[in-house]
Order: sequence, then C-alpha cells, then structure tokens
Amino acid sequence: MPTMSKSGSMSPLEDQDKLLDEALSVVKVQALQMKRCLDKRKLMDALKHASTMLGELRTSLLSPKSYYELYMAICDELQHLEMYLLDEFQNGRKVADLYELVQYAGNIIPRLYLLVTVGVVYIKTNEQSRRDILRDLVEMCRGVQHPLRGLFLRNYLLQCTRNLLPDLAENDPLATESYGNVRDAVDFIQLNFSEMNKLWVRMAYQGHSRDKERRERERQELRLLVGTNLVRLAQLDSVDVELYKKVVLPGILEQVVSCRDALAQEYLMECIIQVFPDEVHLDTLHTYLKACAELHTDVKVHVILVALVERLAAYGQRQQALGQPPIPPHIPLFDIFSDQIGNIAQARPEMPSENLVSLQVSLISLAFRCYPEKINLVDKVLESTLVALDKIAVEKVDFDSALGKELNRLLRMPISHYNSLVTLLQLPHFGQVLQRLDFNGRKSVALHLVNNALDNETYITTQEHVDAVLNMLAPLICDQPDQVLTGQDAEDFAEEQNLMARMIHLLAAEETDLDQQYRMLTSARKQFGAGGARRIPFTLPPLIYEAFKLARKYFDVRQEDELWEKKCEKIFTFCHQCIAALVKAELAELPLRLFLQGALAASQIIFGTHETLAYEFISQAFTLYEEEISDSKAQFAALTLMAASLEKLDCFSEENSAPVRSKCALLASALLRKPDQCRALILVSNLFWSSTTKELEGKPMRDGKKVLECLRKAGKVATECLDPGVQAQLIVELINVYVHFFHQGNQHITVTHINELISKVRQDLLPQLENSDEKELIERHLGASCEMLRHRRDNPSTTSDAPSYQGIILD
Amino acid sequence: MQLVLVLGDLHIPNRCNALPAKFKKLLVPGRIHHILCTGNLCSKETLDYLKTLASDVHIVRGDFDKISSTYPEQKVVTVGQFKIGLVHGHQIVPWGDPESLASLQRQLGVDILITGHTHKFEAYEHDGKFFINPGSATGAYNPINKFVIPSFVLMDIQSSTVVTYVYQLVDDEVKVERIEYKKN
Repeated sequence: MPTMSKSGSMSPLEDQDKLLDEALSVVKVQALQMKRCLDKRKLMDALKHASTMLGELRTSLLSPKSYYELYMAICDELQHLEMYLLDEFQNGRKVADLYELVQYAGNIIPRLYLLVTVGVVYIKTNEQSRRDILRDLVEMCRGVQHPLRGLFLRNYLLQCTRNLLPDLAENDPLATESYGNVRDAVDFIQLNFSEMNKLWVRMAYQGHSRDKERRERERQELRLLVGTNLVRLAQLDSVDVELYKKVVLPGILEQVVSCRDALAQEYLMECIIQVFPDEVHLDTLHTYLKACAELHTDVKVHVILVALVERLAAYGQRQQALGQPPIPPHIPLFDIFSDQIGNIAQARPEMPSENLVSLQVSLISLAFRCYPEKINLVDKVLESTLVALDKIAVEKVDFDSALGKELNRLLRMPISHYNSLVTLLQLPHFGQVLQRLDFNGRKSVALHLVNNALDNETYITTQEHVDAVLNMLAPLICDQPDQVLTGQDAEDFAEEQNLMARMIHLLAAEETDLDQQYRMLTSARKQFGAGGARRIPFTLPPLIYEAFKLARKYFDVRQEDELWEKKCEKIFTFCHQCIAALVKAELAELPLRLFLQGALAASQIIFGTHETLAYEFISQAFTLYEEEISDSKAQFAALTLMAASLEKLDCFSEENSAPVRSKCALLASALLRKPDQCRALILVSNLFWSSTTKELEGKPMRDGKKVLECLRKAGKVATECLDPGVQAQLIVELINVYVHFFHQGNQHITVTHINELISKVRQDLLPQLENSDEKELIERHLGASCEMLRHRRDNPSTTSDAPSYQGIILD
Repeated sequence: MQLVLVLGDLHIPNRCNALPAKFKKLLVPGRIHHILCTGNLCSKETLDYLKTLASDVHIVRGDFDKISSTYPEQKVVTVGQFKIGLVHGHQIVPWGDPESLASLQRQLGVDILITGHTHKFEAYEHDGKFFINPGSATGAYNPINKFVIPSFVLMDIQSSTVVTYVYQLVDDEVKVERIEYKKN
C-alpha cells in the first residue's frame, strides 16, 4: 500500500510504480485476450486486442526506465502475434491485405508497431521486396515525433530487422533489385540513426530548465538505443573499407557534428571507436580527427582522444606480439596525434591544462607500445608538455592540483617503463619538466625513481650519470628553497634517507675502471654533503664503506697500477674526512665505530703509510671515547670494540702498539661500575696474549705475566663488589678466563689460582646467597665449568706440552 | 617440526642495499616458525621485513645497532627440546675464538649457541654442544674477512635432533648443505 503524505498525494517514485503496474496489468489482460483470439483464429479480434495493448505505449507519464519495462513486456507479447502470422503464411494461408488491415488501428503508435511486425513477416516470407519494405518502414516511423516514444519505436524496428538486412555486396548475384544490397542496408540504418539522434537531442529541450539535470540523466539512460544503430552498421559483413570510408563514416560524422549536442557527440564519438575495428580507424584517422576539432566546446575531447590512442596502442601491441609491424609504416601515427593534440590545444584555449597533459600521457603510452625503440618520441612529448606549461606561465605546479597529478603521472611513465636510469638520462626534457613541479611533486617523482632503481638493481656507472641522477633526486638530498622545513615525521624522514643510503650501493663503475669509481664516490660526497647534519648520518656511512671496498680492490690489482699506494692513501684520507664530518655533526658512537673499522681496513691493505693511517684512525677513536662518550653503557660497549679491534690490528710496531694497549687498560679501570671494570679488564687481558705486532710477524704476543696482572686486577675489582651474587657471577666468569689462558699454555697461571677462585665461590660467596634464580644460574655455570675441568683432569691430553690439570680441586 | 630461520649482519643500508634476490625468493612467509637474528640489521625496514616472515622474532644487539635500541645483549630461547643461546659476538674477544665461545655456552647453559659478527658461516660440534654462525645474509663487507659469501641458516628441530641447512650464494647460485646434530 503506498503511504500517503500529509497533502494526500504520493511521491513521484511511488507514482511511477503505480502507473507502471496499472499499464502492465492492461498489457497482461489484452495479451491474454489476443492469444485466445489467435487460438480461435479470429485475427481481426486479436488485432484489436493487440492495438489496445499497444495503446499503453502512448503514455507521456512514464519515466524512461518505466517505459522501457512496459516496452519489453509488450515486445514479448508481440512475438506471439508475429509467430502466428508467420505460421499462417508458411502454411499457405496468406492473409489478404494484412498491411491494409492493420492500418485500421486507431492511433499511430499501435498502427506503426503493427506495421513493423507485419512488415517483418512479409520479409521473412519473401512476400514483397525486402528493400522496399525496409524503406517504407523506416520512413513511416517519422510519424512519431515524440522523443521517448519515437526512440523506442525505432528501436523496435531495429531489433526486429536485426537479421533481415540485405547484407550482400553490390555485385553479389543474390543481391537482386527486390532483395537489395549492402548499400540499402547502410541507408536504412543511417536514416534510422539520424532520426533517432534528432529525437534524442530534442529531449534536451523538453520541459523546464530546472529539470535539466534530470533530463540529462534520462538521456544518458537511453544512449544505448541510439548507439545500437552504430553496432548494426559494424555488424554488416559486406561493408568493406572503401564503403566505410566513403559512405558509412562520413554519414555518421555528419549527423554527429551537425546535431551540435555535447552529450550526444561525446557518446557517439566514443561509440565509433569502440564498435568499428582498429584497422579501419587507422585508415580514417584524418576524417575522424577533423570531426573532433568541430565538436561542441563542452565535449571533453581529450577523453575521446585518449580512448582512441589507447585503442590503437593496444592494437599496435597485439600486432607486435604476432610478429607484425605494430603500425603500418605509411601511417605516421605518432605525428598525426601529436599534431592533432596541438590543434586542439589551439582551438580550445580554455581547456584546462591537466586535460592537455592527460593527452600527453596517452601519447607516451602510444610511443611505448607502438614505437618502443624511438626514445626521442618520448622526449618530444616532454618537450611539448614544457611548451604547454610555458603558455600557462605558472612557476611551480602544485602537487595537489589536477595538473600536478597529471604531470606526476606523466613523469612516472618513463621511469616505470624503461626501468633504467641510463635510458632516463637520455631524455633531456625530463629533468626540465620535473623542475616545474613544486617541492612535493619533485619529491614524489624522486622517491619513485629511487624505488624503481632499487627494485630493478639498475647500476650507475659514470660520474656524469651520478651527477645527473643526484640532481634529479635533489629534494631527497638537501633542503630545497621551496621546501617547508617543519612537520615531517621523523620516521618518514629516516625511511627516505635509508632509501638514499641504499641507493649509494648502486654507484658501481665498470669492474676494471677503479678510477671512475673513485670519481663517482667523491662526486656523490659533494652532493650528499650539502644535505647537512640531518642527512649525513644516513648518507656518508655507505660512501665510506664503498670507499673501503674500493681500497681493497686497488690492493687486489696492485700489479697493474703503479700509483695504487697513493690512491689508497687518498681513499683513506677521504674516509677520514667523511667520518670527521660526522663528528662535526655531533655524533660520537657511529664515528667511533667507523674509525675502528677504518683502522682494521687499513691494517689489511699493506701500503706505505698504512700503519700511520691505521694509527691515526685508532687514536681518533680513542679521542672520541674520552671526549664524547660519557654514558656508562655506551662506554663499556665502545671500550669492548676498541679492545677487540686492537686485538685484531696486526700492522703496528711495538712502539705504536704498547701505548694503545696501556690506554685500554687504563680506560678499563676508569669505568664507573665495578662489574664493568672487571669485565673490561678481562677483555683487555687478551691484548697481551693473542694480539701481534709487526716485529712479531704474526706470532701472538703471549705475555703471560701481563695477562695474569690484568686478571688479578680484575679479580680484585670483583671482590670490591658488595653484592655477593654479582661477585660470585664475576668470579665464575673469571675462573673460565683463567682456565682459558691456562689451557693455552700461560705458565704464569697455575692450578692454585684456579682452586682459589673455585673455593672462593663455593665456600665464601654461594653460602651468602639466598635460594633464587640468580643463585641457580651461578651454580649451574659453576657446575658446567667444573664438569669441563673434571673432564680435563681425568682425561689428560697426550701431547707433550699440554698443561696438566692435576691438582684441580673440584669437590 | 619447528623451522627456525637464523641470520644476521645484513648491514642495510650502510654496507648493502638489500638481501640477495635469490634468497628473498626462498624466504616465504608462513613457513617459518621462529627467527633468531644475530643483530646488525640495521634499519627498521629490515626488521619489518623479518616480522612479515614469522611472528616470533628474536634479535640481539649488534655493534652497529644503536645502544639505545631495545635489543638485549644476549638471549636464551627454548625451541622444542633445545635451549638456544643468541649473541651477536662482537662482545666475545678474541672474535670468533672457539674456546671463548665454548665458555659462553657454559655460562648460558645452552645446547646450541648462535653467534655472528665474523660474516663467516660456521656449524660444528664441540664437547657435545652445537655452535652455529649464520654468516652475513647479504654478504656484507667485513674489514678483516676478505671472502664474505652471503649465507643464512635454517634449523629443522624435531624432538632431540636438529637438522641444519646452510644456504650460501656462490657465483650467483644458491648452494645448500645439511648438517645434523643430536642432543645427548
């Protein structure tokens, strides 16, 4: 039950439903009656019912959607009538003057629908000239000039005659005068199309101006009715290219252009592209494009062109896949479109520039797909874009604007297509277009570039390329004049800089051209240096490591380059300077580690001044430690690395090595916390045992006395820890260290030392501890250590100089 | 059966730009139960990547991980019947010394000790315990190791046996070796 509003009337929607329901029930009743009469072979009565039924289509009250539903219901029922008549004729029971009979239907709508139905029967039974009937029918429909009703009537005509058109070539023997040929079919459809288009356009002018939007919507709903004519034309097999060129296309375009209606033009121009084959478009480009230029100013010509270019580009790609040339060489497709786009830009100065750029985007797509080797075409597009941007005289294009988005799309295309920085650098206008974007735009493109390079592992191999690429990446490398400096999330910034850092490893000259690699690194260093204190912690370390790698490479091919030692020196100086820059940027822990790495790297590459350089690096590390590292945890971590690195440095003379070792020991004793001191001293003890000097020529120092001194100091410090648990833990660690050196043959360490320590833990410290997880851990550690000792004691080694564990007291 | 991915010393972005592509193809999410990482990743993006491979990720601090990071210096993890110790290894002096590593194993009381730092793959038994160094997954530069090969380890732990698979990238080909260790 429809609900009633206050005023007692129903809403328009409910109105429509009610009207449609009422009409459909009439149709149902009349159709039933019609079929009953046909069963009884009472044709006249049946026609009367049919006429009444068709009368419902005379309404002006239904919306196009509802009218469509009514129309479909009635068409279904008319099928019965058609089948009955066909049956009568085919069984020899021709109905005399059927044509005249149906003319007695009162109103024109029922009359014309019935005439079409009968006409179809005549055609199917070859009663009269197919050609003549078709011509009559298409002319007769002019009788209905109401847009909606006329459209549906002509649609009925088109659907009924779907397979009945004389689709035969003119010279086909079956194409008699009476039957007709493809020209007649074309004429039929073209006339129907013109009339339908006129009706469709007329709909725009019906009713109040305030209903304009609704009318536009309704017109859109009906577009397929008009478009079907074009589909029919495309389905005619006998239309050859010549006919299409001379008759079909010009006919359609004439109607499209002359109707001067933007909605119709936009739809129909795209329809033409979609329904007719691509080969034929290639042959008729000029004609089609000329029509484009004549379209109404409200038509989005760029959308149409983009659709056309897209279609032809896809065609070109398919042709290539089949081994054919993508576009027939006699058709300069790219130039045609390039010129056309220029024409349109001139003819429509008010067209928003983003539409122009979207056309450039489709041009580049065409170039990629149909002319893949012609890189210059892509650059041409970029050049035209630049010219267009000049015309609108805007300084920097806003990234968020429609134009900005299109430009972004444009620039990303060559990046993603070529996946090659080198190819990109061959497009001179790429960088120029890039510069027209605002900061956000340039940064977005730069990020896309970097990600693309990293994903495809595209290496940069010369210094010129390095400079050019880093120029394009400027927004990521240093602060830009048009950049807003606040507000970026620290994590986002770190992510970006990490990308740049990763990119540095793509700087790789040819394997044999080490000098080029050096030039690339120094050139990059200059650019990255401009990034300031915020960025160099990310960007300098990778450069430093690439430099370390390069030094080693020079060493590996030293036979071939007599200047290699000087070059290595230069490289290490370069690294030193980079690390110093990090220190200036107020970092401490990172440069300390890099200095240590540098010392180790230099020690392994044996050239003239490498010992001096290594010494310089390591003393810088120690200086940093003393001057800049004050946090206890950081100190212990740093000192661990310093001692461990020193243990591995084999290039120092005793003269250089001794002071550094002593310094380590001093710093160990100077740590704030006792446990840290103890453990640091243990670490330092290794410096007197396994490290080496130049004089020792790789043999370990084995200064057992000094080792024991360190360990005794460590033990003393351990006993100064008040907490028995901490003390116990430290002493168990110490036990293992004593055993370690004892086992390696340190003769200053005796079984007594070890027994003392074990006894200290067992007798003195453990009893002081309450049962806890901590105690359990220490006991387990001690237990495992004693297990090991027991095994060594009870299974003495057979080698002559192995230390004897006899006398170890474990219980 | 528990699959444990063991890797570390990636040094991204300071020394390398990415995990080798052939390794990345092998590391498919959903197959690995645990990840034990020896440290020195060194970026958040790399950590996020590991987290996509498995939900149980353990990392310890490497010498190039920030002191301020929340990674512990060492960790003990139990998987099946095995107690596994995880330490980066720069704290063990001399670096890579087997005796010193054995000492740490006794201290932690673990069946398997995993360390890194040397960028050199190791897997050996010592005094009935198992020692693994997965090497550097990216083959990162190491000043004192001239011949670094990208490598990582996959442990297949079933009751008291662990089968260790080491994946190495040699001449751009992935080579796999298999080592078995039984807990006694």
